[in-house]
Amino acid sequence: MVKINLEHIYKRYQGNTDYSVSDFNLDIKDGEFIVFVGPSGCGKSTTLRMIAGLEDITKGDFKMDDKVMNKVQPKDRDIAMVFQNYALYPHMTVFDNMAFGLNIRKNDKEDTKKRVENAAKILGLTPYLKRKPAALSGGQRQRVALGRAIVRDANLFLLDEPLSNLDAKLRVQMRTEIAQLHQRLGRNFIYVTHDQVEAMTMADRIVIMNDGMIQQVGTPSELYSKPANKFVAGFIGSPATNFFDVKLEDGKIVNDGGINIAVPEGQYKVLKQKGYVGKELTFGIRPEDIHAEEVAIQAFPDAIINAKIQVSELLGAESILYSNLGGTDFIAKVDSRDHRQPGDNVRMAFEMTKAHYFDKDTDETIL
Amino acid sequence: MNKKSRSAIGIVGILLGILWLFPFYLIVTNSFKTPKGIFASVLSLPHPSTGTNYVNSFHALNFITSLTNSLIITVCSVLVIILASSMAAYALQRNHSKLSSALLMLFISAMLIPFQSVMIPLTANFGAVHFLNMWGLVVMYLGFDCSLSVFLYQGTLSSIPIAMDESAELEGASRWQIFTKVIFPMLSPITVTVAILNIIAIWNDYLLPSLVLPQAQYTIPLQMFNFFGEYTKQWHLALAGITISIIPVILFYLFAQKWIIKGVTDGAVK
Repeated sequence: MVKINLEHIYKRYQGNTDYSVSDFNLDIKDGEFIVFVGPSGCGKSTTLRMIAGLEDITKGDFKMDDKVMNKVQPKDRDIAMVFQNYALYPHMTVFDNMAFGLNIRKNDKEDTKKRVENAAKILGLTPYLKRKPAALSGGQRQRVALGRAIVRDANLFLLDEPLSNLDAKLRVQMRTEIAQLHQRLGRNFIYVTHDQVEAMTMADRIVIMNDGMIQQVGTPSELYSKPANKFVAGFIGSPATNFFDVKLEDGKIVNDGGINIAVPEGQYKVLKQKGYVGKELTFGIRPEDIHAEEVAIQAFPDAIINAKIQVSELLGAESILYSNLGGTDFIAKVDSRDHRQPGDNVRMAFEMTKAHYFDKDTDETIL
Repeated sequence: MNKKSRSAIGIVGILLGILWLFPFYLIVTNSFKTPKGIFASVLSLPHPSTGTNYVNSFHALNFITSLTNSLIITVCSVLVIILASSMAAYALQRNHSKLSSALLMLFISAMLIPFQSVMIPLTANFGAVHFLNMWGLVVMYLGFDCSLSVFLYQGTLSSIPIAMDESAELEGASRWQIFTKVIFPMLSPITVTVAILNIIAIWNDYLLPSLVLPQAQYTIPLQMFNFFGEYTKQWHLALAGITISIIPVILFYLFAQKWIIKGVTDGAVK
């Protein structure tokens, strides 16, 4: 068990004027599963590599149990890492791949054998120990990469987009296996992904990043229900949150595109207090908070819009309706019973208690 | 592809194969002929056939000594070339500084320098330090043949992801262990390619050893020259000598065949 602190971490690559990672602050508790998520190039892998010691830290301190680790060699950090491309040694058997780190450290041979066999048992690799990586499937190779990390029994596990090379079905299966592995080992895991579904399903806490900066740190449900800004609201959730430019007037949000919706009293009070009456702001509503069933339309009579369906996708249990309101595209995720065909005019109700409001200039969440 | 065109390709293949094997036919058949038999008909089968050429050639070539010299020079040179060029290529490929790019360019451009243009100053300098012997020759081969080998290794190394090094580094391996335990074994196909190219070139080389080696360290190609005097050419002995001398290379080729084919294609596509 180890306490990990990242304090005001900055990274600037040689020859660049801008920082790739700026003012990264994070405290990781014992046994936590942290997921760094964000779009490509947001600095999540760079941060992971700085923790591993594979990249220098330009400014700031990375601490393990209050000891500054910036200058400590990667091999002395007690960190195990799983790489995106597995990085298995093709000329070695599965056993030798998993035992490599222990053999390098001149661990007792009997103990190494025991630990490799134990890890192989956990990961279902026992029948493949004598095979070379080329004779394994993608999922099995992924397990070997995990196994190599497990046998080291390191304090911190770093996983850099480990599932991105697997097909959709295997990815779901491995996601569960990694989560179970974390529970079983009870170690700190830091997992990097650009897939928000992986982040939401596996993390104790998510660190969402954009342009080298942390946008928000929180539990999956916090990020979903209380996004810190427009970026987080748009990134977390699938399909993404719909945004409309509106003006707050007389207890309503209105725009030229046909939105004329009453703001619930509690929300209006806060918006008024913060001085947004008569001002423009960004209104956000998640696709799953837009309803087309009759009951909802009756329940939310002040939050009705009329839209023409442009594209519709029936996914079985639910239907995704793509529409446009006054020049702004938006998506509704409705029950499959309310599936409509393109060209249909549909009345839909916004569940305003779940609405989000963002400052138009700063994109920060108002409410 | 229909049957007709398949058989046409087959026939062309057989003809090319015969053309390719024809020199071997000439060497082997004539090595069993008497000098008279060779001049009577080069193309015919040996009649009468004699094995004495081999016995005489074996003695004339001082075969055991010259074979030992050839083996020592070839094996040592190739080992040193493989070791030095793979390590140099690894350092150059993994180091992204301007200096390493410049050094790589220097290696590549060195391939364009013709050997003949440097052979006189080279032998003069080696002579000045009393290094005109088989070990001096090994050093010369290292200098001459490293360029191509570094170039080949560098190409293959660029296809090995840096994550392999990083993974081993995190596992606790030193830079030397990363190279010897992870990277070098992954280079084995190109290593065999480098080995075979250099073995063939060094084993058959005549000019450089003729300038460098003292008579006691003569290799097989140098000894072979004894069969060609100003007024007489002992083809029957020379051909028997050639047949014996290519046996080690053929044996190596058969031994490394699997790797050579794999190595050549790997080197071609990467």
